[in-house]
Amino acid sequence: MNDKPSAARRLTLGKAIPMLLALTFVSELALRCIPLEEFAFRSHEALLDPDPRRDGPYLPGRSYRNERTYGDLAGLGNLPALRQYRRETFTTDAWGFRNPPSSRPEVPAAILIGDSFGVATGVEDRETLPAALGRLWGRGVYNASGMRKGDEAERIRAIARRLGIRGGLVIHEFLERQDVPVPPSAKFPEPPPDAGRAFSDRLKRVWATSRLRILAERIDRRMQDGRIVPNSYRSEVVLERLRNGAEILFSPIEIEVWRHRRSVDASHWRRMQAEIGKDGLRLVVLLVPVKYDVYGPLLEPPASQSTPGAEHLERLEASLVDAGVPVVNLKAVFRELAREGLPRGRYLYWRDDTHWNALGLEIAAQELVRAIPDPASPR
Amino acid sequence: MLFNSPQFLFLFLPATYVGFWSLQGSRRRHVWLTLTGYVFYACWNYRFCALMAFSTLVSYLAGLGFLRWTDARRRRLCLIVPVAVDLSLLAAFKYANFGLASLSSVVAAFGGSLPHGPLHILLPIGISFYTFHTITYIVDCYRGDVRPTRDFFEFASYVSFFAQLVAGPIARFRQVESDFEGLGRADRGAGLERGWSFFTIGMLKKVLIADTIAAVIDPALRNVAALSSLDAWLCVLGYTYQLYFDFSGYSDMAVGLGLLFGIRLPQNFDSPYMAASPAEFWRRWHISLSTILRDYLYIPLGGNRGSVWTTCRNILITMALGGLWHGANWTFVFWGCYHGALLLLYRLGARYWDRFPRPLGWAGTFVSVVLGWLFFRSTDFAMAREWLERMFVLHSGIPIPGRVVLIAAIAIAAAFAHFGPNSFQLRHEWRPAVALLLAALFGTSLLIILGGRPTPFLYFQF
Repeated sequence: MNDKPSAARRLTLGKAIPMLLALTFVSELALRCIPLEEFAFRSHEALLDPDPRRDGPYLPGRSYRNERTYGDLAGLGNLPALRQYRRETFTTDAWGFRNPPSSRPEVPAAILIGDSFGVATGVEDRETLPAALGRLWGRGVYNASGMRKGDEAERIRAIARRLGIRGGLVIHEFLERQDVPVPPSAKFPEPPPDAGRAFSDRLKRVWATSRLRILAERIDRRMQDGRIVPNSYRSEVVLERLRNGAEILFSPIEIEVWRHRRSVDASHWRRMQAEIGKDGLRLVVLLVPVKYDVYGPLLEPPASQSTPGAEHLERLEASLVDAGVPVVNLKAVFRELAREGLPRGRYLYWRDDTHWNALGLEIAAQELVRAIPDPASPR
Repeated sequence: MLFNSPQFLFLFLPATYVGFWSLQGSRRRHVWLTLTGYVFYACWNYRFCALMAFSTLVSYLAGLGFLRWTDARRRRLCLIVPVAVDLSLLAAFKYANFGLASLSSVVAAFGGSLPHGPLHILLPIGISFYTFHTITYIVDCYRGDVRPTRDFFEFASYVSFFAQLVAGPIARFRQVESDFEGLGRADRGAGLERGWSFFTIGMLKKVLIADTIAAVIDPALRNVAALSSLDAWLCVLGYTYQLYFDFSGYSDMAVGLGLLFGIRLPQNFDSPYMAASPAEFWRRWHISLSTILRDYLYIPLGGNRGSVWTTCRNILITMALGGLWHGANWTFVFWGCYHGALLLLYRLGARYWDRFPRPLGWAGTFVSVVLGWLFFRSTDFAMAREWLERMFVLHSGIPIPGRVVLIAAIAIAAAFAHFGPNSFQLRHEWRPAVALLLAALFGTSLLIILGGRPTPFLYFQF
């Protein structure tokens, strides 16, 4: 007779729980062999690159394609009923910027810098601002949006040198939500590289790209459907109704920022203009209103326009003009076209996303071209 | 870093555990536990590590003072100065703004105003707990109940032991002294089964029961005025079980973690919702705190040795301060006084109350405790009044989302809380099938932890 107990009979919590933890950890490692693209719902999550040594924010030389991507706000708020499904093709170049292989052999005439609006998450490669500008100008535009933090002017000059651009245009897409950058000074010197912060960011990125976490979160979100279990993610977004009856999502941070009066000091751009001017580059600032600024007056009931922050972009535009920095403010034309398009259901921003859509991008490109007909020659 | 967070489960705990058992000797293990305790604490805010280190050093030096001096005057100095320092830190960080706000209200009532608004003070997490660790050590040394330790790291590891650092149980030094002293001889296998069993049960209590209830009642309680009477009752019942399963779950996890490191932390809950009188409730609820309040406040005040009047006074002072310990808010003070009043009423009428059949005594106690939690949960008296009004005056309303889940969770929680054994009554020797079931439930909890945002334990805010 065999006295050895079977594996099942030997099972104790003292063994099972550590094994379970180890198994979970191993599964996490194993799942990392599968590309993140298979788990992410949009390009930004799929291709974001944690390596701070590279200029660009994304993994270099990659192409992400998703037939059913949807907006960040619908994702954040766990509101599947409000998703606007669309196709997205997102291609990065060797430096990790969003630039599909170009059919134009010539040196680009302009460089676009900015945030996720410049990157244009949620639209096809051919619908981005550089693509639209390229079509209108007949000259290539290099997309350097999402550049790592640091001395922007120095980085722009490095990119221009790398691309062989001399005497071109630098377009700074600047979203209303951002705080106006303060140039380094004796009072506020450029902060030294923070190794602790970099390490913590890296850890966060490792956690953010955990396939197991993404899968578990999907289950959690599916469970929190708002009926059987309350949707705890719902408070991450603000749901409003437009005058035409359509529902639209906003970011609460965006609304909060829009309401408050903020600094409009243009000295950062004046300094940048001077710095890049050393290489013959010229600067134009493209002021992009947040979605709430454009659609706030079209809500039912309309958002109050008498808040201290409501005129932020106008004040910033005036400050830039005073500083001698060329500027294109999209607010007025966006508000006008948003109002006109509302009855026909034509929007400039995705209703389920913080960002603008292809139409918004096209309008922005047209406005820029109207202001600067030829990127190669000074106005 | 929370016990129910991936960072803790997959990084901190394995690293601390492997490091601890690979080191030989008490000294090294004390240093290791101190170090990891500070790392654990630094994950919230590294700046407050200095505060804990200061409090530890002051109490340790007081202990050395007791060893060195025998004359009453110096010994009293060794008692008063460090306790005053500890209490001043607690008062400054936890109660300064509360005091200012209260004073401001009084001044405003007379038409004046204070020159200074609220101060920008961050509350160091766990300060209420580690301050009590150090104070009880000093007082016990003074009374001669414990021999002060000369080993700084033995004491530092006791104060900063991560398992009990931020939310208890408030183990007194004398309760764990022998385990800390004998850390070098601790046997890794001895506490393994019980340790993981406690930890698993605590995790299931927290993630599967307390958090499920919280997911429904937290959004509902943001707008108490919209609750129907049924939902108002469900919310107060839900919170009753949420708090118990959350805090006792945390305590079980802490006890389990202690066992994994060879340290036996004391029992903190003894099926409190089975109590048949207010006095019994306080012998079963948050035992480590209630015994500290009894031994270091109520008895020194005179306890029940004097007249009825002084006993009443002592009970009310003890319970009001116990309430205030939970948070700098008058609702907590009220809750403490409410329980003080219950204890007084029971004290005066115990001979009648105890003649009731036990189920009747239990029902009366439970309903009183549930009503008390309403004040404990309310952010202010306006919310408490609205909530009470919703409960006792018939109101209709749209059913809260997740009502069915809430009812199911309450039913399960009630069955365990009123009829099941508590963690310390279990033998923690599971049949393989039960072990498998518990492991599967632990796996489910892990999935929830990975997918959701870890919810803090309720007692962290105290």
